[in-house]
Amino acid sequence: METPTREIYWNIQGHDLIYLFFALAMIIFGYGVYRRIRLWKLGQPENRSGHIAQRIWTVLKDAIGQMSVMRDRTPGSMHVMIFSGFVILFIGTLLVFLQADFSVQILFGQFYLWFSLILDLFGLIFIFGILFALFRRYVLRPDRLNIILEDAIILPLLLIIGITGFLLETTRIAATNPNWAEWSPVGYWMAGWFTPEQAITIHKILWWGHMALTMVFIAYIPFSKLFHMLISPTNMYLKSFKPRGELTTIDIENSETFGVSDITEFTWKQLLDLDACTQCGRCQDQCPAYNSEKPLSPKEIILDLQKHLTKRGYELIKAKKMKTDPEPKQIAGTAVSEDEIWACTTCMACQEHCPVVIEHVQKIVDLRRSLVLMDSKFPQELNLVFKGLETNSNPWNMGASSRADWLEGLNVPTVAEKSEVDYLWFVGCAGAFDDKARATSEAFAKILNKAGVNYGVLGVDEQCCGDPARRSGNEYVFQMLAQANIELFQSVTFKKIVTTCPHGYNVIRNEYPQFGGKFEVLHHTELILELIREGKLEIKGNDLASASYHDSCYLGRYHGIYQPPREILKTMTHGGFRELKRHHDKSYCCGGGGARFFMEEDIGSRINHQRIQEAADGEIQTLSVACPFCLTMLQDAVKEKDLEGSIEVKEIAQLVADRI
Amino acid sequence: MGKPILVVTEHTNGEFRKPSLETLSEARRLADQAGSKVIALVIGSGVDDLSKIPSQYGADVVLKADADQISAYSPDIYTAIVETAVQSQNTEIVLMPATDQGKDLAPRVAARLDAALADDCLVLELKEDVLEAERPMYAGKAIARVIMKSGVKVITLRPNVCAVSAPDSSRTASIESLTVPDVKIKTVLKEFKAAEGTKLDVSEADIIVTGGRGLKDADNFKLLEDMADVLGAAVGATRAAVDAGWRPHSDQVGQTGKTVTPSLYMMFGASGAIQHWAGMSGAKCIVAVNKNPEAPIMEKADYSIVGDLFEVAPAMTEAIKKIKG
Amino acid sequence: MDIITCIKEVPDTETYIKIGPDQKSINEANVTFIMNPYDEYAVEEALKIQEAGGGETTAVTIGGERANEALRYALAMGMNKAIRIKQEKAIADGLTFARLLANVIKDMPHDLILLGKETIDDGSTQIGPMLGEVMDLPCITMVTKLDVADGKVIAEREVSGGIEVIEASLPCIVTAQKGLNEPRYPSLRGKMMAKKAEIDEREAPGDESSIEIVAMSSPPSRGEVKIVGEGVEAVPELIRLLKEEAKVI
Repeated sequence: METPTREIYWNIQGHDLIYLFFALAMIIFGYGVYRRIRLWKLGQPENRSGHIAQRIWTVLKDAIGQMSVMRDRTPGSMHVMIFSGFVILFIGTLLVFLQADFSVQILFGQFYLWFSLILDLFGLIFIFGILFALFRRYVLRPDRLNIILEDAIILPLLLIIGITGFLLETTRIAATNPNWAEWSPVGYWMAGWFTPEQAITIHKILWWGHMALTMVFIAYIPFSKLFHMLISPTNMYLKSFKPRGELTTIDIENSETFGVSDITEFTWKQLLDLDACTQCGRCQDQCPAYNSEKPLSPKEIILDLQKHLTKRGYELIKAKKMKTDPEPKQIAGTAVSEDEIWACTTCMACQEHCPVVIEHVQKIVDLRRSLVLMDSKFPQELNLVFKGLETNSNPWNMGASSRADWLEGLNVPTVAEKSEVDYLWFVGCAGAFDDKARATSEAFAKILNKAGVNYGVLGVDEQCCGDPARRSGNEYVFQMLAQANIELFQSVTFKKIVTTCPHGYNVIRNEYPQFGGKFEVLHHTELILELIREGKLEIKGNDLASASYHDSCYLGRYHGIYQPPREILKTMTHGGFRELKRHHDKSYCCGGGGARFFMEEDIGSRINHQRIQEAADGEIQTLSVACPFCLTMLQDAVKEKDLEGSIEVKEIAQLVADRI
Repeated sequence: MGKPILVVTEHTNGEFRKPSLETLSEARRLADQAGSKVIALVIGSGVDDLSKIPSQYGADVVLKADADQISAYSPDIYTAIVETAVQSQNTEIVLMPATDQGKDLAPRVAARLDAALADDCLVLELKEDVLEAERPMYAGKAIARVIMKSGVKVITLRPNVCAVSAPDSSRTASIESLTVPDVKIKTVLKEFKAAEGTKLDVSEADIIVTGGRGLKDADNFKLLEDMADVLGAAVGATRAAVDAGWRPHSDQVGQTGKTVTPSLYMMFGASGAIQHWAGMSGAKCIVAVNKNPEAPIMEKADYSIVGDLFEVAPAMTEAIKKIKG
Repeated sequence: MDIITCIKEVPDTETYIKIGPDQKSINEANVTFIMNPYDEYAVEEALKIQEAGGGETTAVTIGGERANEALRYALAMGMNKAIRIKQEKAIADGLTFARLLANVIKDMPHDLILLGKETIDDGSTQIGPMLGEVMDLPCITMVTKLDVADGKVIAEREVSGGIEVIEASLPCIVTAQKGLNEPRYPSLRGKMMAKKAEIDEREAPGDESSIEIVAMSSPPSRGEVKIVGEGVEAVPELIRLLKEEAKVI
C-alpha cells in the first residue's frame, strides 16, 4: 500500500531558485521593517514593561483568538476567515518547508491525509473571506473604508495566490492521480478539467507564478497595510495597563517644551501605534465628531500622522546625516488641522472599538498641550475658562466665594462642621454653580440625608477637579488645581470620596494619584445603588414609563459603569425601560466632553441635537443621565429642538429623590 | 458765603441734555445750602438762545463761550475754557455730568487746576461746610463717601440719579461772554461715523435690553428695540436668539458672546442659563420678565415680573417714556 | 517704538467684596487680585504694535509687593520690562497717581503710553487724561481701534451715537476700551519666564492724597430678589423701583 504523501517540488526543476527569491524577499522585507523601526526610534521614551502575563493573554485572546475583531460580527467574521485561512495555510507551508529542508518526515500517512483536508478547507475559507472582503469593499462600499490603491493590490494578490494554490493542487492531482486524492476535495473535483499533459505544463508555470507572487507578498508586507499582521499583535502586547481615563502628566518645572508639536515629540509607542492601523474605520464609525460633520476622523488622524511620520521622519534623519538644522515643522496646521484637534470630545469610542488598541485620545491631547502651553493658540472661548479656573477655580469665572451659595437653606454639612465623615462628597463646579446641576446636588443631598449617610462637603474651598483644563491641554492649570484639591482632601478625615460628576470621578480616581493623591472614589449612582441594596433607601413609585438611560462616556466607556444607573432606573420604571439605539459601549456622546462643553460648536450638526433626536425617535419620554454635562447638553437640545413636552431629560439623583 | 459753583453743561441739537439739567439742579441745591452762586458754563457755536435756559434751573450767572471751533467737543480747547472760567470766577467746586464728554473733560480740568476729582458720584452732601460725595467702587459692590482736600474740587455726577428741578422761568441770570483762549490742539477729530439707526454696542452700553428664545421671532425684537431707543440702551441677545438667526453674534451676551457690566440689564423671554449669566452677572441691576416663575433668572434677578413679555415690554416702554419726558 | 503700559492690580470684582472693620476700606482677606481687565487690552495692544514694528515694551505699576503679580502677568504676556513704583498705601486720588507715573515715565523713552480706560476697583476713568495734562501729551480715551503710522496715531472711540476718529501725534496717551483687541493668554513658557524675571522697583515719596475716603459701606445687597408682580399691572411699580430704588433709569 502506498503511503499517502506527495513529492515536494514535483515537476519543478531548478526549485532551488526558491531560496534566491526568498532571500531577496526577506532582504526587502527586512529593509522595510528597518525603515519603520528607525522612524519609531525617533520618538521619546516610554515605559511599557511589566504585566507580561496579561500582555501575552491579550495577544492570545485578540490576535490569535480574534475576539476584538469579532466585536463587529460581520466584518469580524470576514476577517476571521481570512486570518484563520492564512494561518493554517502558513502552518501548512511551514510543514512543507520543514520536510523539504530539514528532512522532518511528517507529511506522510494519516497525518498527511488530514493535513490535505484541513488545508483544502481553510484554503476555501481563505478565498471565501477574500471574496467577501472584495464584495464588501467594492460593492457594498461602507463609509468607513477608504478606497485606496493598496487594497486593490493586496486583495487580488491574495486571491490569486489562493486560487493558484488550488490550481497547483488540481494540476498535480490531474497529473499524478494519487489514490487519496479525495482528501484534497477541491483539487480532486477540478482535476477532471485537465489532461495529464496539460496539467504538467500548467502546473510548472503556475508554480513559479505562485511562488513569485508569494515572495512579492512577503516583501510588500512592511510597505503596506499588511504590516498590521506583525504590528497589530505587537501593539496589543504593548497596550497600556493604566486606567483608560488617565492621561499622561508633564513635569512642568523641568521641561523645556510641553505637549507635541513636531512628530518626534510623541513617544516611540505612540509612533508604533500609527503603524498598527488597518484602516478598518470602526473608530470613525463611532466617532461623534465625524458623525456630525466635523473635520475630525480618528482614523484619518492616525493615518495622517503615519504619513507625516514617514515624510517628516526621513526629513529629520537626512538632516541629521547631513549635519544641517532641520526647519521646525508643527503637526498642528500641517498634517492635522486645528479644527480636527479641537473637535474631539474625548469620548473614547474610537479606542473602545479599535481592534488593535490604538490610543487616539492621548495623541490629540498632546497636540492640544503644545497649542495651549507653547503657542497660546486655542479657541477663544477657552480664554474665559482658563482665566476662571486660575482666578476663581471654576470654568465660568464666577466668584470663588460664591461656591457654597447653593448650600443655603439646605441641610448639608460641610467638613468644617464635622471632624470625621465616611463620605467626602466632591460636588464639582457644575453642582455648585450651574442651575440644572444644582438641582442634582439638592436631590443627592436629600438622598444622603434620607439614608442617614455620614457625609460632608468641602464648601467654599473646593476647587475645580481640573478636568476641563487637562482635557483641553492646559496642563499647568490642571496641576495647580489638582495639587490644591489634594492638599485640601488630605486635611479631611474620610473613608471614601463620592462625586456627582463622572469627569470629577475620573480625575480624582485615576489622575490625582499622579500627584500623590490616592483616594477611593465612588460615583453617586454606585452609592445610591448600594444604599438601595442595603435597604437604606426605599424607592416608592415605579411610575416611569418609556424611560431610557444615556450612557455617559466618562462612566461607561471610561469605567465600565453601565449597570448601576440601569438598576436604579429599573426600580422606578414598570417595565417601561428601553435602551437607546446606541447604548453601552456604543453610546453616542452628548458632545460635552474634552472641554467642548465650553466651546462653540459651529461646524456641522450639533452632537447633542443628534443624540436627543435618537431618543425622540425611540419614543422615549424620560431620558435619564448621570452627568452634569450630559444633563445640560441634552436639556439644551430639548429646548433648541422644541421637544419640550415630548421628552424630558432628568438626572438619576433627581428621579430617585422624587421617589423616596 | 461759599465760593461759586461752576456747572459745565452739555447740549445737543439746540437742547440741553438731561444730565446737564440734573447737574444744574443739584448745583442749585448745594448753593442754597452754602449760600453761594451757581455759574453755568455753556460752550458751543451759536448758543445765544441756549444761554437763556440755565437761569430757569438755578443758574445765577451764565458764562457763554461761543465760537465756531468749539461747536463740537475738543478736549484741549474745552479744558482751557473751563480753566479760564474757574480762574476768572474764583470757583471752588466744578460740577459736570459723568457723560462721555464729562468723563473725558473732568480729569483734564482737575489736573490743570491741581484739583481732586470725585467721579461718577451718586450723592452730594454738604456737612458743615465740607462737601461729601458718595461714589460707587468695586463695580458697585461698595459705596465710598469721600472728601476732597484740594482748593478746587471737581465732581462728575452719574446721569439719571439726581432729580431735575421744575424750571422756574421767573429766575434771571446775567449772561457774560468768555473769550475762547488760543490753545495748542493736541488731538484732532477727523471724522464722526454716525451709527446706523441708534445701534449702540452691547459691550459698552450702560443699559442693555436682552431678548431670548421667548421672543419667538426676529421681528418681535422690535419691542425691545423700541424700549432701547427710549432708554438709550443697546439690545442684547442670548445664544438661543443668535443661534436662531434672529440677532447677529455681535449682540450675544454670555460665555461665548460678550461679557457686559451695565448699570441696568433687562432680560425678556430668557431663562438665564449659566452660560448667559456668566456674561452679565456683573450688571449692577438685573430685571427679568418671564412667563415661567421657575426660570433660573427669576431667582437671581433683582427685580422680576412673571408675565407675558409681549404685554409687559410695551407697557414698560410707555412707562419709561413718561419718566424720561 | 517704545511703548509703556500703565497697569494696576485690582480685586477681582467677581469676589465677594466685604467692608473691612475700619469701615473705610474693603476686607482683603479671601480676595483674589488680578490685573485690571482694561489694562489687559492696553498690554495686548502694546504687544501687537511691537510685533508689527519692533521696539521696547515696559509695564509700569504703582503699589505694594503684591502689585508685582500684575507685572508678572504682563511679562508673561510678553512685555519686555516691568517697573513698580513702591507705594504701600492705596492712592485715592487720580492726580497723585498720575504724577507718580509721570515722574518715572518722563525719564524713559516713550512714544506711546497705553492704559485701560478705567480701573475696576475705584471705577475711575481719570488716569489717562490726567497723565496727558501732567506730561502735556495728547490723550485719546476709550479707544476701540488703534492705528499707528508715521509718528501719528489714528484712533476710533465709540461714543453714544457713533464713532469718533481722532488723530494725534506721537508721543501720546491712549486709554483702551473693551473691544480694542482680544488679550492673549500667556503661554506657559511666558509664565515660567515671568516668574523668574527681575522687576525694577523704584522708591517714591508717599504723597498725601487729596481725596480721603471717610466711610465705606455695602450697597443694598443684591440677594433680595423681588418678584415685583405679575403681568402688566406690575409695570408701574417696577419702573418706580428702577428709578427710585436702583436709580438706574
